[in-house]
Amino acid sequence: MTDTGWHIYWQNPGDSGEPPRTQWKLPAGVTIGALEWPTPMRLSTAVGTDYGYQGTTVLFSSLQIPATAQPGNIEVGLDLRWLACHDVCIPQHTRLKTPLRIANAASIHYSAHQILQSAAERLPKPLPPSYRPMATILPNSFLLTFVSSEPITKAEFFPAEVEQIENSAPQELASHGKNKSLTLKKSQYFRQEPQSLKGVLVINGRDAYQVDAPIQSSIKIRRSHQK
Amino acid sequence: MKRKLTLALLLLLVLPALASVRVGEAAPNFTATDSYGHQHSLAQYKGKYVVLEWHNQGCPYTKKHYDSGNMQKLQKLWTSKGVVWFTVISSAPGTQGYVTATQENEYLKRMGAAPTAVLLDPRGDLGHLYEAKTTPHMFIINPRGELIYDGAIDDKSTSDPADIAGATNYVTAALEQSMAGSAVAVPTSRPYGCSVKYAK
Repeated sequence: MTDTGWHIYWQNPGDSGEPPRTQWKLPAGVTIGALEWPTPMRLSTAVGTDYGYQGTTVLFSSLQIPATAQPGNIEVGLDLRWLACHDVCIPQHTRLKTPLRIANAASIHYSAHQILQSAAERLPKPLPPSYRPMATILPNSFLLTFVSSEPITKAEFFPAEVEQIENSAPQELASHGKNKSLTLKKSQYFRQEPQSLKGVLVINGRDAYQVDAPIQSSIKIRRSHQK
Repeated sequence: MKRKLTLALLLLLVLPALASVRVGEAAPNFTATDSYGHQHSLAQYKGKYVVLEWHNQGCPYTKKHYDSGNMQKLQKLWTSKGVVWFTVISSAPGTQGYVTATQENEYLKRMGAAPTAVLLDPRGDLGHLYEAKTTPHMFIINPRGELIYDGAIDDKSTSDPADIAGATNYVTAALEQSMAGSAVAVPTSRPYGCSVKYAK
């Protein structure tokens, strides 16, 4: 939770900043998944645009307890580093540990349940396959295309990777019936063509989806034109 | 016809101001004053490599490279090979990293920093000219006056000094490659650090 005016960063911090980093200390046999990030917000700075969170932020990680684990107590430790910024930035570091009881039935504290439930609503949902997302790399931009019969008046893309999209550039939405396209200006630091364009797509300022749009190579485009 | 000509002339006047800094193109010339009151222009260093390092002594990312001695080591290494190294401070008065000339000279001494000079840019003119985004943000200009590198100091975008040891330093790599007559393998990268504290 940050104080008023302060923020922390998303997995892609944008033009400055740094995402939180985790180092878990887990008992043998217990594993933990990658961080799941809520939909970030845009934060304008004097030099560009950052992506992050203000106020209370919950990052999720799934803990896997082996089926063979015996009921009893274990301890999960976390070495957490993050950067909090306002006009200035302060690196933070904390070591946390929490006991967990392995039992035959799961139980959760009521207040924790409330927090987790509302936080889970801020996680982007998987994009329905019917959207058929694709990305094309043009000389100065990425063209993110998708299919939707819903009326879409606004679409905003948050790139998961750095060095792909110019974070401050306006994103232009075009509709041709069901076919939608979003023009995303290429980052001035763009170097390597990715396999796919990954990120979060927010539709109509409301519905947030995880997008993994395969890159359609220019060869394929030429072929489809010949047909 | 006359109006068209006026418009064309206007565009000609406006375009240079809008032109952004691009690797492979001529680096824009500048004139700036250092912390000892001396004037430097980029043009006077034609024939030499010039490194520009954006700096804010209060920024955790700048501290990462100064408290560990990494930046000073780079400054000493490259200036000893004839490279001109300018540390640039674009923090506006009242913001983090803003220093008077006296304060900066004390800092240089205390830290054992060894740039060729520290250019004081409290109005942000030089910063905006090069579109410097973060501290640090590094630029390298070759002896022909062309920009050959624009980006981060290295490939570990954290404020943790422990990450310096395993990092690939892009400035050293670019200078070594260019001096050996090769193309710079990584000519641009996303600069990481604190945003430059320009006047609002």
